Amino acid sequence: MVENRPWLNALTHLLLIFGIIVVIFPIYIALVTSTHEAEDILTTVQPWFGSEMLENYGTVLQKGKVNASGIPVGMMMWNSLIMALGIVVGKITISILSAFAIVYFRFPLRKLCFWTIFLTLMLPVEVRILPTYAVVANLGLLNSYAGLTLPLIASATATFLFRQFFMTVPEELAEAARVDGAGPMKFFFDILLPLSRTNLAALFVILFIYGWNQYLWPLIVTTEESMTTIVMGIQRMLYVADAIPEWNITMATAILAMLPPLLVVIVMQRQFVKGLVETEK
Amino acid sequence: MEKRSTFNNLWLPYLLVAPQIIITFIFFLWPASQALYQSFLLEDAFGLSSEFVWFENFEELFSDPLYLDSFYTTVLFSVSTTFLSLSLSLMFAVMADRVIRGEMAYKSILLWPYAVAPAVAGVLWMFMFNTGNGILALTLQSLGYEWNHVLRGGQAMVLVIIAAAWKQISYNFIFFLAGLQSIPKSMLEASAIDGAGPVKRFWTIVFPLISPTTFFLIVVNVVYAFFDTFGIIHAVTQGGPYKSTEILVYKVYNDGFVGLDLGGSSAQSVILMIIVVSLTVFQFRYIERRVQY
Amino acid sequence: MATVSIKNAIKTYPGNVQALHGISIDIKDGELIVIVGPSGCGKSTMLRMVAGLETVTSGDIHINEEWVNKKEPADRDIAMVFQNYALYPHMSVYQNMAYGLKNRKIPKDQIEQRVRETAKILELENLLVRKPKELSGGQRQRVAMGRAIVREPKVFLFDEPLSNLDAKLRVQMRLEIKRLQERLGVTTIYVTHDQVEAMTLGHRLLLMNEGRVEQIGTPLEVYEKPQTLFVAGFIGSPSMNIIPAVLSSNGDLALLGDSLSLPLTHSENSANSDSQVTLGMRPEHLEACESEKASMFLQVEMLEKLGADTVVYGKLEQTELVLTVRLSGIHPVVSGDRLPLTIPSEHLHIFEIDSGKRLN
Ligand SMILES: Nc1ncnc2c1ncn2[C@@H]1O[C@H](COP(=O)(O)OP(=O)(O)OP(=O)(O)O)[C@@H](O)[C@H]1O
Ligand SMILES: [Mg+2]
Repeated sequence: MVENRPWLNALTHLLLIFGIIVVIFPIYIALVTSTHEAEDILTTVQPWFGSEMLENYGTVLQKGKVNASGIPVGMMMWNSLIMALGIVVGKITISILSAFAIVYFRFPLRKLCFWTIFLTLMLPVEVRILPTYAVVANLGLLNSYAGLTLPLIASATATFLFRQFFMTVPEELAEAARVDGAGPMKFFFDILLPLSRTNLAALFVILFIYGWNQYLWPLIVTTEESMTTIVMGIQRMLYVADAIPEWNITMATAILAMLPPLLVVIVMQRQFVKGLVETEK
Repeated sequence: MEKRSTFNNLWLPYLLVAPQIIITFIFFLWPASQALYQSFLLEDAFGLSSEFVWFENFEELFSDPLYLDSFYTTVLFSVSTTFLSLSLSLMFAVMADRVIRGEMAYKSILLWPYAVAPAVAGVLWMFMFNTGNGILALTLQSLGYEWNHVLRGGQAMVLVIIAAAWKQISYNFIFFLAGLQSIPKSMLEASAIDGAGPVKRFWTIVFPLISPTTFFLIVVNVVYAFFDTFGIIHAVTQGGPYKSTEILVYKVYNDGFVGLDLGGSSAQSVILMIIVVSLTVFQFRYIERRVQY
Repeated sequence: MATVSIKNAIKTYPGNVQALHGISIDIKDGELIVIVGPSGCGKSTMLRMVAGLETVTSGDIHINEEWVNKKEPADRDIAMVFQNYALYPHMSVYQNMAYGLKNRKIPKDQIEQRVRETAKILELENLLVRKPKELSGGQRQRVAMGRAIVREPKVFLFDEPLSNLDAKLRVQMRLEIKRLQERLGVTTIYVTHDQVEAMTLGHRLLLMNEGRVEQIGTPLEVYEKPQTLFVAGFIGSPSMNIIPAVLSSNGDLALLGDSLSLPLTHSENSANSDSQVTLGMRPEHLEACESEKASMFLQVEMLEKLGADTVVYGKLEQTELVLTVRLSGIHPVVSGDRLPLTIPSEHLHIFEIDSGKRLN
């Protein structure tokens, strides 16, 4: 709409800049803090970058916070990466397959399967931690990547997203494939999967962030320090009785913890927005 | 909605749903039923024997002032978080919808907090409010206001609310913006011709039109505040000081894993489940995002 | 090359929707049969049952003497062209055409050769690397046909393949399909609800209504001797005038209203005299004549001058019956005229009132 009210335009930009500041400021402070020596930030705020960036990040990646277990953050990031990718791949695989079965086949227990999957929508891990922990412990999966990922990969939302998408694929495409002599799996791999590309990308973004940012679950299934993930690792750095609180190290870890998901959001912004909006349908 | 043409195969569909169904059973339904079952049991102090006590655990919970406090804390926390985050996001979305130049730049950056884990978001804000060297704490101090969330419950609450709301800005922003952009421009033009100013236009036309989005976001944000904020609480306040920020999920964890009270923690889990189920059902029933089946 | 035989095919959809009530037809080798009828009459259902995309509730379908009721579409050696073409959006034209052959494990060089040959026939050679979304509607249609032709099937099945094209392209593609079918000589079943398409394409037509066969016959048979009132009304444009009439006691006059009568050819009449019937007259068979030769007069109300024809609408004098008349050429009649009309008795169609069956 053409509307020219200079004061309104100015206010618009002003408020948006305020929004940007609200978003960026905490991150900026963390980044600045991570480039100073611990002593320099004990009682003062450093407004601008220091000179210890390489030094601090090198320490963090290789040694972690020495007073707090001293697990290299590099290793934590590796664990987080495996967990995130495990969740992404696992979730996408099992949900696309089950959505395919539910949409493209008629079988006696179909509705039951659908509702079983639907139930998972209502049971976030937070409400069933104790018994889930018991199951994982009984299966001997504590301190393993399987234990970290498996309980998180059943997801109704991803299944619904694929189901929704499959329903919009024209009927005739499957029929043409059948006439062309493609069996179900051939149809799945040759036609359905390539057509799902954009949905896969969108889900990848959402699930990667979801997986990387897991906190409570890794906290309880990993007791061995070599299995620590970075997001929970930060927490362990907070509550150590340092002689000098090493905020620089903690903040460097925080920056490293948000870097991968942030990069994914920045690089794949379009897919991210699509994924977010679609998974809520 | 059903496909008219399907593949015929006796066992393949079962094979395809099997992984998801098996995982759902092992890690969802079985544990959930265990929680339900255990919520009716009372274990002795050594965990050697247990006794079926019906609703005793629940009765005990609801007569436990600590639990009721935690309930109150949770409600306060989620309502404040939801309100703060929604109002900020709505304001940013309305502005971003108006702006013509630089829209992309603003939008891109407002998406960032989504990528930040709740626990990390908590740590960022915690540092800024850290007594002695946090930029905001020092600023407040110079204004004559003593900030110390380690000692003061109210301040701790404010801190976790801010962190939780900050993290959720992106999500709300995206949905509000989508809602705003789906309003037909002609409707706004018509009311502009009728002489309604921008503020009036917002309250009489825009706001009612996006109310389904708002409603949906309220539910989503309450669910978020109830469950996904565990990381913030655990990292920033550990429920303290004096349990002033002990929300329900944190209490489940704390009583179960730290206090080792199996029955009580299970009963709490069951109550939480009932809350999620009601919120989800509510969302599906009253918001048009129905699953067609 | 193949014959197709359908015997008493019945289809009941879930929810007890009976779409077909027993359809039978024998299709000769190389024949092009057009299934035509109004929307929802079960044309697609019939075709899809032949294709194997829909189960047969009861009845038998044979392709080349082989019972195929239980066979997968891919094993029936048929090819199908869909209304919306159903091209694989992520594959090039070449890949779309090659997909069915690849699934049949045909050697690569042979696939290449067949695709190129087919592309040549359909003038798609320059488009082989394009994706469907980079093609025009007509080109997509051609690719869909190419995908069917390249398979060299026993039977072609078309389900309203031209209905997504604009009028001009539709005429052009219609001719092209006819030419191709004659050239390849492949038995073809073609579904449409467009009677012009049906009349111009089909060797024989199968007219369907509400899941039943109304008539099977060549275009001329269907036009000249519609066996039912439904067929009479469905075929021809503008559609046939249908008016109530009574056969006189000697059985040779059809009385229209109170005071009009038309001579009937005696021998053809198989009805009981004095019975109520329905009379059909095609607009193009009504002729303008001199007043003294007229068997009826039309009170002209409206005219459509189309150049080649003049279509006249009006009321039959002394009655409330509305009639359409199609006069060839540019006729000098004007609105308000009293137009004298006659009709050769061989062009009168008489139908039983209740069953709608043809009587003469
Ligand atoms: N999968 C189905 N389930 C139930 N009823 C169906 C199904 N498919 C078709 N029908 C019904 O069967 C009847 C015949 O449908 P069909 O698609 O064969 O009609 P058609 O002659 O091809 O119509 P059109 O010209 O509109 O394509 C219709 O009444 C339709 O509603
Ligand atoms: Mg049809």
